[in-house]
Amino acid sequence: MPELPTASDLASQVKSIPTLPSVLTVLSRRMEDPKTSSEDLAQVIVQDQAIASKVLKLVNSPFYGFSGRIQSISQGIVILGFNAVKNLVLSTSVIDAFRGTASSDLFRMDNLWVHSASVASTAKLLAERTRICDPEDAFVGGLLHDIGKVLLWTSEPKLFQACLQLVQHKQVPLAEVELRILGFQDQEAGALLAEKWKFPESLRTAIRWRGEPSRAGNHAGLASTVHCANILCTAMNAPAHPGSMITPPEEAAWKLCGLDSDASLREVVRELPTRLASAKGFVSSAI
Amino acid sequence: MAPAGKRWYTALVIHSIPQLREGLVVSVAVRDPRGQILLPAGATLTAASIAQLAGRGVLSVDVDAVESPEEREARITAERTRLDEVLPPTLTDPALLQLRAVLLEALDA
Repeated sequence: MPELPTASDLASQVKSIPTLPSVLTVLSRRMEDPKTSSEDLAQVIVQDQAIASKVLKLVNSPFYGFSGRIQSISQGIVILGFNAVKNLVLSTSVIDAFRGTASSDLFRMDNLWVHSASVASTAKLLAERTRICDPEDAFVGGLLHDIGKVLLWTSEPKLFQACLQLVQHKQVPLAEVELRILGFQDQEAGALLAEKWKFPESLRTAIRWRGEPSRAGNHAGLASTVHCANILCTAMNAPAHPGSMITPPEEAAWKLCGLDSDASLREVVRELPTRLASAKGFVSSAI
Repeated sequence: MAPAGKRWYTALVIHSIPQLREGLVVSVAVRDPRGQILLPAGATLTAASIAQLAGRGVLSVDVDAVESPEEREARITAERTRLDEVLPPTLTDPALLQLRAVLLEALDA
């Protein structure tokens, strides 16, 4: 029997996955300088015209509700903020990196992005309510929480398809199947890819511990937000893949997100259909 | 505003300004470039509000899909069946039981 790959093998051997654009690195560095203006950041982004036009398309998508009125990157930064626009550059770059990835009946890329954008929107909503993390960071954490699945799918499609088949036929959570078949979970592969791509530590940690946010240390707020958003989205019919199972949330995370109160959970559930609908709008503008 | 329960899981439809008509319900708040809300989510469009949006240069608005009582009933039945599968009543985890109860309650609202 051939030796199975480790999560680290996958992250280091992904020849098919391009590096992320250098504009991201420059952007991160400039954002650390308090003297940087929105015009400075806009100058960096417009150097990559492909990224700039996609970001403009997204900020004018129904998701943000500006209805085609934002005409420049610098205007977008003024209206949405530095962090939101930087996260949009990051999100667009990752979506682009996986563009053209084939789908199967059990793993459809368009479906995965709808799920991811749904988790992103939900995480942002939770963060806006609790302020346990930055809502824009919550959005990007939600959008990229499943990149490990995409990495597995692109690197080891047969193995990952076998995992998904088991999930559907045996009705067991994917995390359990991955551990049994691969010896690691997709979020480990996702965190390694996030490291390779030099994502911020908070994002890497949230991706790694989205299933067990109590282990996320200083970033437990972000990881808990993504953890709960993932559960809510699967319950609201926006699963990552067919047969996706809902595993119980960590009690502390559920509380941290204020969802242990019936009144608060009701408010979130009332708001979610609108957020999930706009998440679909985000995806149709992004992919 | 939308009748009770109508906004539950209704599909989002994006209309350009010429396609808008009175009575449609706004799904996502319409904002101006400074982020100020011109029309909130849940607002029912009127001839005056449509003219105002056009005058402000808004290009499109997200509105709720309108469904018949039969379509609504079928959707709720299908959703209840789906919830029984993903969050069965036999669950023992208190948070998931709470989530199931709140989702069913919202479905009946």
